[in-house]
Amino acid sequence: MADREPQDRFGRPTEDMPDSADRTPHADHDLLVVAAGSDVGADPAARAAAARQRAACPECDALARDLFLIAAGLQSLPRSIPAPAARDFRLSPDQARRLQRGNGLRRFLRPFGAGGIPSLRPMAAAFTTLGVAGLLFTLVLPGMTTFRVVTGAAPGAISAPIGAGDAAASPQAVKENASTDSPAVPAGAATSPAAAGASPASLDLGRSSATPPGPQVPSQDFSAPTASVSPLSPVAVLSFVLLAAGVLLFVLRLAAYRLR
Amino acid sequence: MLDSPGFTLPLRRTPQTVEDLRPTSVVEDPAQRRDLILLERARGGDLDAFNDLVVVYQDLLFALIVRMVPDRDQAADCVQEAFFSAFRNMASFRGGIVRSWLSRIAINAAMDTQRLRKRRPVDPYPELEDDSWQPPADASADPVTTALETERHRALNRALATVTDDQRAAIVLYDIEGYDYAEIAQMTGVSLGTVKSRIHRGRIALRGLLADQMELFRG
Repeated sequence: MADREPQDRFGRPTEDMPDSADRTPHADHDLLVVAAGSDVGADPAARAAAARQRAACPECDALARDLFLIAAGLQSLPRSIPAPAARDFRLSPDQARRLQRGNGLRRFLRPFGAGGIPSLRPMAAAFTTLGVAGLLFTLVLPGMTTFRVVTGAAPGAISAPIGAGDAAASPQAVKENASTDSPAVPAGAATSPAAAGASPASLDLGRSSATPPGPQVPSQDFSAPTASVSPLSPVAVLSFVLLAAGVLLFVLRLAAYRLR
Repeated sequence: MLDSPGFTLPLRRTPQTVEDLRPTSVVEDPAQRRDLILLERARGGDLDAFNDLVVVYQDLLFALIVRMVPDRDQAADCVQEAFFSAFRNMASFRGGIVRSWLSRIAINAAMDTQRLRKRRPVDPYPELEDDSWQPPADASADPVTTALETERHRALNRALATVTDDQRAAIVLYDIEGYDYAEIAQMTGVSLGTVKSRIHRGRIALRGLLADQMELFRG
């Protein structure tokens, strides 16, 4: 007996170890698990998860029982409530005639409304996005680039980012550049290697502005920035068409919903 | 000894499974057959046939809408609008259950009204204390039971009017009207998961609102 380890009352657990993972406070529990599990239409996995949570937490168990009682109470509510006796919902021949009048338009708009073409909204969104993006790339962005090159700002300013180049390309900077006595740098030479590889638009503009060398006064005409990019390029036209189609689809869809 | 009358085997009781008693098939439903005949005649230009459908479904649609738009006058307007819309769109009915089709139209009308109300709020919904919300009492019923049931219905209706519109619509369609998840998803135009989430969140919200009245349900 002496060689045996003394038996401490609290030495070794003789019962099953409690599941410490479920000892979180009720406030941390996901009540939706309990709600989903106590529904009659719940799948076995949801039921099992709810049962585990209910077994571990008395508050969750009480919640499940209350939810069951509430669901039973809701199902006992009357399904039919008499409409006000003063109201006659039946249609008169006049009303029927009036309602049938707009049927042609409604039939035309039906595919665009609820239950119509399912991919209509994504299609309209895609058309609109492509149209806007196309217009942005064909009209707006080249216009901004052209403006910089035509002003004949310093080479660094040409290749600089838009935000950084604003100061260099400002009219004031242009005036300072023009007032110097030194011969102007030919336009072809003004384009640094960095600027040469900057964008096709700037390359194109560089070629178009490769006028005979000599004293050159930078253009002060800020109102004609799109010298090389025609607003009627095929891409621009296509973008217009896509944008119009997208907007039209949205409008038709809205009209179909309104006339439902 | 085993065949003595007092002897019973100690059977292990398994928890009662709750059976969903809602009908899953309506193929042979005479009401559905009647509705389809009426609708077919109405599509052929018979206004009386359509008006028969109106008479059959007006109370059902009113019950559905008045729980979503708890102003009785507005609910009645919604029902009228729903029947107008049903008449206009008869041609687009592609088979199926007429009741579901009408319910879907009614829900759309109710949601339009709710949206309009949110844009132009006039006054809050009145409390649902109207006695016409309660079913007529059975003559043989115990007065205490009847009173308890009436009180329970009132509490539920009050709480229902407080939850969000989406949750209320989902709960009304699922628990009261008896549609299944898939039908509700189709009617309301949202995913199955959203329907389930709305129902469960709505019930949890109801429990919070009815916390101090749960004795009504336990009795």
